[in-house]
Amino acid sequence: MKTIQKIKIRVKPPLSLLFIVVAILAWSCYPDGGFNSVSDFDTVSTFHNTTVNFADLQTYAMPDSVIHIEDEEDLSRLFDQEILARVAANIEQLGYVRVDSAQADVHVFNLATSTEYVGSSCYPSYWDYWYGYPPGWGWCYPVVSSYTTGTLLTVMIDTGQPNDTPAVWLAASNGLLSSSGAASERIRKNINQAFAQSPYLGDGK
Amino acid sequence: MNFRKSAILVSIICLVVPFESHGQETFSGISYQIAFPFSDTKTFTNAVSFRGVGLDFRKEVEPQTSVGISASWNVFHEVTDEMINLSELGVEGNLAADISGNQNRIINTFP
Repeated sequence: MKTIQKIKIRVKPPLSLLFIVVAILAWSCYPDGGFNSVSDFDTVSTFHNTTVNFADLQTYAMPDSVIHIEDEEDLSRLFDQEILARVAANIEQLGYVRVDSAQADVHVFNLATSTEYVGSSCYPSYWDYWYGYPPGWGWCYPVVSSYTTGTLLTVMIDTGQPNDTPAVWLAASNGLLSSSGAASERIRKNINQAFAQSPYLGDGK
Repeated sequence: MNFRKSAILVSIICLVVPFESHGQETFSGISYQIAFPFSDTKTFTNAVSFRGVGLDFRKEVEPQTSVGISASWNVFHEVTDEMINLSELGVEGNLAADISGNQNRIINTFP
């Protein structure tokens, strides 16, 4: 007498293979963002003190050089004048008037660094960078953040505040100051962006 | 292989290959899934996901009764240059930050 036996379909091997195929396909179309150039990774961060009334700040002074922090050799000075001109143009477009440092409501410094800074840090004195300043004045990176290779920092300090008061405004443009051919365009674009996203700087002017 | 080709290929496989197979005791299946973001997911990545795959296993315990598990993977992706605004930063909470740049936003969900 014949008995009818259950015929079990072994589904595991082909499905396993199918899983692998699907996994490969899924991985192949996993998004990478489509970022193709270094400029795609540029970021512009601005920080400001919300208690400051920028309408009270009408005049500014700015050194005629970009401060290279710790005199780093791997940073080019090729774009220093372009940086200074672009920053000045933006500040004056907002209504600030350039005066001598003694009469200025704010001092604006441009700094370049290739060192990575993590965390909130302060420079106890910047008088070394601009002869004639009394020791003790200082400014801080106001928030916890990270600045990586080729960063341009533009710092605005209220001269009417006590020594060691944090900067009233700071802009950090990451990824700049490289020697690539597009650096000039990136500097122009990112400095403009820093001021475009800080409309409060022009209050009352 | 770019995304469009992959999606077309997966779609063709889904249509042609009988993904669900079963014996008398076990059922298994693979599915291609499209997902729509809602709520906080939509806030972060406001784009329909065409990258999704699901797996399904079931075992018959009694006639007309089976138990099993399902798993799926959906990838939501959006590239944006939307500015990020942060406030009440710093020790005294009087600092604000605005950050601009390209953002590659990806959410992997395994519901």
